[in-house]
Amino acid sequence: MAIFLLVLLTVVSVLSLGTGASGTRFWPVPGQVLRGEEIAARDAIILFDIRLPRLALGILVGAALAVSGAVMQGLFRNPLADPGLVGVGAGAGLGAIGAIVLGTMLPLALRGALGYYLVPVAAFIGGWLTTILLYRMSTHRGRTSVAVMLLGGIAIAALAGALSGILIYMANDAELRDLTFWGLGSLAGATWDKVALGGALIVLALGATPFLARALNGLALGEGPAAHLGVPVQKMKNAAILTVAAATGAAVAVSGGIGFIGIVVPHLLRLMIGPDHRWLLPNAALLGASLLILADMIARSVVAPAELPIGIVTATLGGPFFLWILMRNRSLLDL
Amino acid sequence: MLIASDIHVSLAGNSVLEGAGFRAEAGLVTAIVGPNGSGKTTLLRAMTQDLPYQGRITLDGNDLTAIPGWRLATRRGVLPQASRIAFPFTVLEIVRLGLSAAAVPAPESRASDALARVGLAGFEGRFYQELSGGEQQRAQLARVLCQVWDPVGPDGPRWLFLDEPVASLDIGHQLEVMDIMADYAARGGGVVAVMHDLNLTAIYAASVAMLAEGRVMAQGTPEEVLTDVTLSRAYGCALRVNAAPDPPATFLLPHMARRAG
Repeated sequence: MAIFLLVLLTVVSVLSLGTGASGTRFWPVPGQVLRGEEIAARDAIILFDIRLPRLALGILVGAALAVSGAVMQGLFRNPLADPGLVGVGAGAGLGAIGAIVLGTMLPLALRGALGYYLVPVAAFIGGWLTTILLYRMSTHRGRTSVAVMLLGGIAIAALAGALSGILIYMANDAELRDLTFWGLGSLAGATWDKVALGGALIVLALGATPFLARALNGLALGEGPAAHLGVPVQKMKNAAILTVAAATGAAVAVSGGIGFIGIVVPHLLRLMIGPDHRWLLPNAALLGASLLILADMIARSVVAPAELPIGIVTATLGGPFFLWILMRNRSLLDL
Repeated sequence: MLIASDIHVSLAGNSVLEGAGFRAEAGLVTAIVGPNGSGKTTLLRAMTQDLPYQGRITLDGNDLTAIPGWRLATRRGVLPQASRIAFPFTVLEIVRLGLSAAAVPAPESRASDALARVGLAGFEGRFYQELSGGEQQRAQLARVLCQVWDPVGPDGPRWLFLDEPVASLDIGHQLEVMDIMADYAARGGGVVAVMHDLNLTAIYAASVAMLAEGRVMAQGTPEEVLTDVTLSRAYGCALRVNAAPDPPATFLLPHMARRAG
C-alpha cells in the first residue's frame, strides 16, 4: 500500500509541476538539467519559484491535515473527529489572525525572536488550547462523548470565529490584505519562505507520530484497558494533543482552513488497510499529500487562468463523503 | 498475595465502598459476589486502579501505587465488562494488543493459541465489532490471556482480574471460561473475578468475598460464606443452600428463593 501511495504521490507531483496557467511544461526540464543545458529563465522561475514551492507546501499541508485527523480520531476514539470540524482549525485560525493583527503590539524583542514564525506559532498555540479545551469538555472519567465533542466543537468554532471577526474589524488596511490573502484557504502564493515556515512545525509533528502509533492502538480499547497494557495514557494524550495542534496550527498558518482531508483520508485508509495506527499514520501522510495536490490541480485547472480556493474543491468532494461516513456510523453517535 | 485494606471509594459524591477489606492468594480463584450495587465492580476497579480510592492495596507486599504501569502490565491482565472498540479491528489485531505489553517479545503464534484457548479458533480475520456479545467477551479474554500468558513470571505470580467474565456466555462457554480460570490458578497464577452466578462460584472459587452495602460482609471458603444466613442477609431474600452429594458441592436452586418477610 505504501509503495502504491508513493507512486501515486510521485505521479500527481509530476503532473502538478506540469500543470498551470502559463503553459510551461515540466517534462523537458529534467532532461535539460541532466544535459547541462540552459533552462529558459521564464520556465525556471515558474517551475522553481512558483510551482515547486507550491507543490512542497501542498505535500506538507496535505500530510499534516491527514495525519492530524488520524491522530485526533485515535485520541477521541471516533472516526468523526477532525481538527477542522471540531473547532481546532478555528482556534488555530484565531491564533493566526491574532498574531497578524495584534503582532505589532508585542514587545519588539519577542517579535524579533519569533520573526516569521510568529503566525504559525500563534496558530499552534490557538490549536493547542482548543484541543485541550475540547478534550477536557468531552471526556469524563475516561469516556469521550461524541455528542459533546461535536456540539462543543461547533460552539468553540463559533466563539473563535466571533473573536476572529472582532480582530478583523480592528485590523488596519495592510493587515486586512494579509488576512484576506491568508483566509482564502489556498496554496496560492506559496513561497520557499512559507514552506520553511510551516515545514519546520509539520515535520516535527509528523516525526513524533510513529511513537504514538502503538499507544493509539491500545487506546482503541479505552483508556483503562490501554493503561492496563502499560500505555502511559496521560503522557500519550498530551503528546497526541500537542502533535495535532502543531500539525493543524502550521497547516492553517500557511494555507488557511482546508477542510475534510483529515476525515476523508484516514477513513478511506481504514477501509483499505485496517485501523492499525502503525500503518495508518504513514499511509495517511502519503495519501493526504496526494489528495491535496490533486485538489490543488483541480482548483487551478477548472477556471484557468483564474483559480478556485482549494477549500471549495476539498469541501465539494469531502462534504458528501463526510455525510456518507456519518450515515454509516449513526449507531455510534448515541445523541 | 493481594491485600486491599480499608478501601473507600466515592463516585459522584456517593460513597460506594466504605472500608472494604479483601485478600486474594496466587494459586487460587477468588470470587467477589454480592447483590447489584453492592460495590463488587467498584472494588475490582479500585484494585486495578481504574478508580481513585482511599486505603491501601498491596501486591506481594508492594504498594500498587509504587509499581510503574509498564511493570504492572507484565504482571496483571484486566478484563473489563463488555467493551466497545473504536475502529474496525480484526479479532487477531485485538488479541495481539495483549502481546504489546510483554517486557520480552512474545511469539506471534501466542495470539492464535489464546484464541483457541477461549474457543475462538478460526475467528482471527473476523471484525471484532461484528462478533456477538459473548464472542467479544471471549476475544477480550484471549487478549488478556495473551498479556499474562504464563501464570508465573520472573517477578512472581501473575494475576487475572476479571469483571463478570461469564456474564453473557451460554453454559457451555461459562464452564470453558471457568476452567481457564481454574487452570490458571492451578498453575500458580492469581485469579480475582466478580461473579453473579453463585453456583459456579461455589464450584470453582477457593475463596469468596461477599459484598453488601459497600463492605465485605464475609470472606472465606464457599462453604463458610455461601450460607443461608449470609446469603439471605446480603440479598435481602430467603435463600436455601443445598449440598449436592456427587460431586460434593454447594448449590442454590432459584425456585427456593422467596422474598423475605
